[in-house]
Amino acid sequence: MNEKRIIYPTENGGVAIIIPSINAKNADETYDEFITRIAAKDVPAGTSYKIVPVDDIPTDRTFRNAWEYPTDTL
Amino acid sequence: MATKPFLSQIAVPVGTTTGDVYYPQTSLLMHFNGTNGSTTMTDNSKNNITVTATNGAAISTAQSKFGGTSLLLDGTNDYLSIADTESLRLGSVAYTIEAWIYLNSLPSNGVAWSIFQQNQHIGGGNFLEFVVWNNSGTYYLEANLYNSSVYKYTVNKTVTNLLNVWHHVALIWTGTTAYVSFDGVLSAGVSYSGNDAPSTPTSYIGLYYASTSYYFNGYIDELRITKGIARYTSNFTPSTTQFLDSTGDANSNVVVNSTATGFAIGTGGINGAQLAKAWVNFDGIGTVSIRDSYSVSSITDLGTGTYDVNFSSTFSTIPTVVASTSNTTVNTNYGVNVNSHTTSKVQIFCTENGVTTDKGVVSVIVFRN
Repeated sequence: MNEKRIIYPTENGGVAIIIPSINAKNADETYDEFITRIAAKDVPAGTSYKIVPVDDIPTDRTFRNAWEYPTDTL
Repeated sequence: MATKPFLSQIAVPVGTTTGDVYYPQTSLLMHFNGTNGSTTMTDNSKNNITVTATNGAAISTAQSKFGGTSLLLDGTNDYLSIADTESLRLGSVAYTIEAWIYLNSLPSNGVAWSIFQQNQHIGGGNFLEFVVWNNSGTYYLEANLYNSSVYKYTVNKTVTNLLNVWHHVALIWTGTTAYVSFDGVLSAGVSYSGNDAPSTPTSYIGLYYASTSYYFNGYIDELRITKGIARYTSNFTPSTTQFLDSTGDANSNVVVNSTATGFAIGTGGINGAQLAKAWVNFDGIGTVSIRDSYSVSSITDLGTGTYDVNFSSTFSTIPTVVASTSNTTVNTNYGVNVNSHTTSKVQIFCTENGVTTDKGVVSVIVFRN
């Protein structure tokens, strides 16, 4: 399973990254359904978001506060 | 190589030792156990209060409710005393004063014998007394709280068959209502609220006031004072064993199972406010990831060292949050601060020497009553 993350723009121009907890996945839903449900629940209302593979998230967090929400892809 | 367990892998063994859930609130616990004739009086509460035997008050094997011995008071001048101590300042909190008594004779008309008393019954004083007394041939178990020349409450119950029989007696004040009980049967309640108990009392067992015929004549066993708890507010069956000396471990067996889907609770009863309602442990370095969680749907990485912890379900009220991070470097100040919390999430930020920083081990626990 390729883990997913949910990203959305923050009010200060940065990007927020949601890490879903696999413990919150219901037994009767697929992983993708789970991610979609968490996005609907935990992304602030009215905010656009993207679901991306975890590998698309940089691991070097040195300049984490300078990250920006991608207009196309991360 | 040993691997550190996560919270969900920790299971506290289910306890089997029965205890008294209110032992922590027990201010005085006298079993009156010991060798025959001993004047050493031991308080088995956590306070280990010094209790002084006067004029020959002593442990006796002649009569006992539990443990083979009890306290013998000869009715002439024997009594026990306890100097003022914080744990016996009853103030305005609920309390329960109870014991088993066995009378060798009966008080004469108009005379009261004190089971437990704070300050002596002297005119104009401030006292709390728990007595058995004779009013024209009718015997009463009675408690009086007296302050500033006013009886703040008087609560009593007629009692019979007092002579040469063990009886359980109790004085209970809930904070609003006072009762006495005789063998588990409560009197009618008397309404009283206030802060009139003696503020720095000397406590007595067996002494009403220093006058002939006003000394308790008989045996007392299992005297227990519980501060902050009204143990009995309806009729009850008195303990059939010696009062217990610990909380036991049957009340501490919360077991979080390996899949973190639930927990087991012992038969002693657990206040739900004591249980974590949600928790998460995560790694905030590199690829941020959740190691394990309970009742947390996700965390939101908002920037360096800053995260929302999103609850699986919205709480009805804002919860209490505890957060921490590991600290293995000497002279480095690590911290996790709760920036804001709502009914649906809590926002935290991790610091190192005052600077917001990503941390490898972050734990957040959420409590709510």
